[in-house]
Amino acid sequence: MTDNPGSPIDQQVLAGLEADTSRDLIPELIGIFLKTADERASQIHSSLKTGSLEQVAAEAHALKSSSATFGATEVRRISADLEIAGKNNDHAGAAQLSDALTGALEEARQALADYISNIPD
Amino acid sequence: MPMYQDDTAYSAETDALPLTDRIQYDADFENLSRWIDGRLAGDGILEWHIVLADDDAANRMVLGSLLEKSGLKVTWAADGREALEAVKKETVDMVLLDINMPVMNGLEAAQAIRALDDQKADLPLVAITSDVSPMRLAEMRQAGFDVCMEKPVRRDALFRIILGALSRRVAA
Repeated sequence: MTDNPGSPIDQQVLAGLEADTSRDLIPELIGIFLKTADERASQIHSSLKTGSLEQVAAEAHALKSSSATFGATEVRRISADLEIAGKNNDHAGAAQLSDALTGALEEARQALADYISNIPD
Repeated sequence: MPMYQDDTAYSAETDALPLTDRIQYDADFENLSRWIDGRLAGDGILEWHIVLADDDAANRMVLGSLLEKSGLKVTWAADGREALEAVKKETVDMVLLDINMPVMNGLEAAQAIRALDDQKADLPLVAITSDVSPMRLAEMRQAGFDVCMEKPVRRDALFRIILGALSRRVAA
């Protein structure tokens, strides 16, 4: 459930994360998430090229987990589907989802940047 | 957590699935909270030491920060092998393990800890994972985990598990 149904991130999850850790830490945590998410997305793309769908599933599983932590709902949804496609050896489906993942990550990046910029000093 | 539906022992209160009875789920949390507040009012540090293993840096940072903010000492590990080495070398009270990790996964690490030849083999082991399928839950139970928590884990739920696991120490 998101505050804004059209948003690629769940504000409630981020607010919970802020409460559980600290407001000061949120920008750093989000930065680490985006960096590792980029690395995993890149690994997914290269694993697709080499036909290593087992690796695609593993990276997608990890991305599903971290994107849930940071309320990146669309990234989480696509990652979950990618994990299944990888496990099912569905190369065509995984390739489509991989492309969608790139766009979802960019949308999440922008939304998370907006979230950080709205954190009060 | 709909994926837990096959397991009747799921605890909505702790948002976790007990796999053994090593953790005390009916601990006196009010008494524990008072004890903790008293400790934190002193030097702000609890003596409890948690080993935390997750290969994902973002997840590791979130959980580690959450635990340290709560006054716990945390040893951070990027895989099961590092967690196992920390358990062997240091005085540890509890181990939190992701399942899917390189080098040594959480299942292998749990089995290795349970196979230790000292009292560390009896440490409370918590699986922190996003895979709570019935097959994976069975593997966790077989490996020796005491409880499974699904990611993302919230502080209140995790702390109830920690308190339940360590309550015997408070009583002592």
